[in-house]
Amino acid sequence: MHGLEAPVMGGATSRRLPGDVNIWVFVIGDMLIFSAYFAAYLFADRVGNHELFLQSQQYLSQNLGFCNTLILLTSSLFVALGVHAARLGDFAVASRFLELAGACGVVFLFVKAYEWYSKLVGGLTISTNAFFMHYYVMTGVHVVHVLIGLTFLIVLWRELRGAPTPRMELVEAGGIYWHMVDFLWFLIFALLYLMR
Amino acid sequence: MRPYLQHPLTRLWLVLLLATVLSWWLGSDKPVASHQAGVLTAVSILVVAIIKCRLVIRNYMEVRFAPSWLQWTCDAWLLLNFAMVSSFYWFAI
Repeated sequence: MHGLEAPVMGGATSRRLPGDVNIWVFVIGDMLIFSAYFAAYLFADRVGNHELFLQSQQYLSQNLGFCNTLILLTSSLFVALGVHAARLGDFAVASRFLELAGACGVVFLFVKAYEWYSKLVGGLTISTNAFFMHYYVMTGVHVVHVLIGLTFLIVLWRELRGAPTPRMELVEAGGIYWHMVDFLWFLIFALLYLMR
Repeated sequence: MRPYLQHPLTRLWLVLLLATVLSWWLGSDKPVASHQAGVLTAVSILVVAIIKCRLVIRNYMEVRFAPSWLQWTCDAWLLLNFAMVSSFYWFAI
């Protein structure tokens, strides 16, 4: 995408690692764990009982999944703009963007809770069949990631509000984690809700 | 706030939003002409998701400005997921 300029650090543009190496080790490890989980799901679906998975998939709301994708997408934009504002030294605006991102994260959780509730009252639980076992576990593990991400955003918000010179590495690391939560959802949404 | 809302990051958000609408439309219940057509639709949804992931990784996570080892690692992960998921769809049934 043209027009997305390199992050400006001290007036110079150079190739550099966003955040620090620790957050990348964690994020890449998490990405690989999710890939393994996608493989387990696909094996149960395509090699196990595809008809059962197709029928069960009909009970998921693509519209709610779509709404949650837009919500996380928007939260990612706010985090990216927050990191950009912090880099420019605009800490008040940066913390405001993080508040907006956090609000999106909370809305995501409410939509997810409503979705789970509507399934549970309809008698579709984790023990209903293999599809719903994967559905609850995969979306549940993702929700745990959202909760960790929200905690991270609170830490960043306090850093931007309280520290005399906020640590940019920490701000970037929090942003990287949140974006990972976002793009992992893209794949979960595609696999569980959309692909037949 | 206005300069931020006109930032290229915001324009990218619009692209991601439109891509999400496209995948949602592709995944909505429509009559499928054949098994192969169904697989093609599924793989198209996967491609859109992978492209969205790559746009977020490279631009929002700023990997496009990162050392090449990180760029390669992220692209390898995306390729791994594409190959794995599409193989299950093409070959498993």
